[in-house]
Amino acid sequence: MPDPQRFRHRLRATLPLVVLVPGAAVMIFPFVWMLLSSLKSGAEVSHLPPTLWPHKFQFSNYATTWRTPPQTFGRYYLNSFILAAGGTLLKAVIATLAAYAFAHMRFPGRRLLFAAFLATMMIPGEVTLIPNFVTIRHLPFIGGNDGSGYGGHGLYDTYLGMILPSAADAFSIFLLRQAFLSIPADYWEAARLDGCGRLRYLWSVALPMVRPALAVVVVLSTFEYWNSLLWPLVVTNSEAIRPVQVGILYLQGEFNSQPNLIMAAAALSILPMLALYLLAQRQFRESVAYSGLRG
Amino acid sequence: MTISLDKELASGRRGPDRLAPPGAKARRLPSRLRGVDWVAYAYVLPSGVLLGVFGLWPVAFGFWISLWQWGIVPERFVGLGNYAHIFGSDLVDHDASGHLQAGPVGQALLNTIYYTVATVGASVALAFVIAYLLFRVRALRNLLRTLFFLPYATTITASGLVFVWIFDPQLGVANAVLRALGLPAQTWLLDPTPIGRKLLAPIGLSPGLPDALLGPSVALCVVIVFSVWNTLGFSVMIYLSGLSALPRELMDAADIDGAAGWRKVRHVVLPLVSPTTLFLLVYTTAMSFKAFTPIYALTQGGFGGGNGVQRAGGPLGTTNVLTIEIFNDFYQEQNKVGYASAVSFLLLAVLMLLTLLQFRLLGRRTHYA
Repeated sequence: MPDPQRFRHRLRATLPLVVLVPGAAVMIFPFVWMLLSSLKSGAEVSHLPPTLWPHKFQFSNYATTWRTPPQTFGRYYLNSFILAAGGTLLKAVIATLAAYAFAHMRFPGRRLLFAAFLATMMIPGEVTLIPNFVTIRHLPFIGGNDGSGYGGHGLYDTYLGMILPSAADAFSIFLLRQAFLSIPADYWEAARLDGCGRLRYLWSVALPMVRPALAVVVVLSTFEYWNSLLWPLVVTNSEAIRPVQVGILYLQGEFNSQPNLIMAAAALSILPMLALYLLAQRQFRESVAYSGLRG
Repeated sequence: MTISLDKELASGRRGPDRLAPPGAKARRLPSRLRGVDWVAYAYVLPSGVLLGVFGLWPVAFGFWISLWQWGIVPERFVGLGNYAHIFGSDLVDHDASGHLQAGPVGQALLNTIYYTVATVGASVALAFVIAYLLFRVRALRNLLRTLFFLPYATTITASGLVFVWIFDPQLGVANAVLRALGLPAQTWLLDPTPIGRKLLAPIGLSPGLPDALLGPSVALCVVIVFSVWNTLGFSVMIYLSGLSALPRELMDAADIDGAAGWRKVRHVVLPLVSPTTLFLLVYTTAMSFKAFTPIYALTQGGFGGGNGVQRAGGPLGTTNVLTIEIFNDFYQEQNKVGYASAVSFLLLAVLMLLTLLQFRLLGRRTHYA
């Protein structure tokens, strides 16, 4: 004899699924459709009405995408890895240093400087886009430029040019500073009495204690560098250093009227971040929860 | 024993930084400089230089650029000429017969407003419903949360290609569904018809208003659907953390008082999460207003063969939002770098005004528990 009260309770806890499950299906349909399309043959993908399940799984589409035009996709991929890894490493290092100083060191102008750092978060990228482009191109004494910034191309069309403008990030510094603040000052006192220097203390004592915050910064930064489009697009010129996000828009023209190959390209470019998301869901959620402070 | 005593001593002061370093030198310094970690400047320097050069300086420099006619190099100082051009003819214009019409920047601003209002409205409303339902279920909760969040976590450019394929006029699955339902196929991202005219046409109405006032074009609507799909996970996540922070007693009290279903949502849950709603509205409005990638990825040329170097902006410029306008002026045209910079400051001004307005209007209706 089922308890009616319990039954009602159970019903109320499962009723939302009637809406949520179809909703989730709609949300992931584009990914499913992408994968299915990417495995169809050229004839099948252009067939009307479209088939849902591929008659024959043509896995060679991925190899074709990777190889045509020769060396292109692999190169884009490598560039994205360089961009994401290099940018994230640089960002994590300089953000850690600044965050630690703001949290545990005393120096004149600390508050003012921190406020100035935070102020950069309120400026939209569209305003900084053009002046930063000019700055990167006309950096004096770099990339063949003379002292007045002319004659060469500065950091235009270089990896560093893609990385540098977003390498310092006030949000990351803020996040890490909050984490550092939770470390009691006594730790540093004890370490200092033992003859430990600032940097060694930071590396071997403080940093391990803020690992969760550092993980959020690293995951978020990897995503941002991997997914960035506008800046790498305008600040580069040669396909040889362009990342995947810019590259697949170019491939879109190259694979004109071969949607199965375009879908394979899309799947390939999504794959690394999809894996990272599934592995680092917690960090990703935390970074979203923190973005309340980011607006 | 000594260690614990040490700790007590240290924590009794206002932080370790107050401790003067040993040595005669410290005694000669003025008291406010005693115990200063001079090395701190070296720690802050790399971030400080980069944020200064690429974060703060561009505001002044960008404004300076906007006062020039600027191509590859600065060509001619024009003062406020670029702004005069925007406000003189590019925002609102007269056609040959003297009627008012939107200039290119005005059209872009209107497109931006359509895009922002629709994306934010749909995304925040849907997010609340989904988050509230997710909050109530136990089974499958983690899996569902992961799935709803997936689009936000993946690359916009790549998922944009998928949407272009889904809405392909010939082979897309969207048209296949319409045909199966006996409805006429659409050209989607190639269709500049305003949605108002499109929806009224089947019932025989054809309003005599200019196209610009009849809502976003069908193409822009597809972009909006894409953006809602893309940003929904973010808003759901924010609502979920807002809901789980609510005091349990209040929710339970509502249950005991017999407030169930819609009444509980309307009178208990919605007021309680209103700070979250305010944050989401302000934040997603700013994000939509500044959005570039979703629009660019969907309308930079389509499967017809775009190599990323043609003018973006969709059919008849109906998906040409302000960011796309800036990009086109800056990247695709000669001599318009200064002008593009001026448009970017227009965007900044409108965005700031909008944020202020939202805080004023909605702030009053927000309950901080």
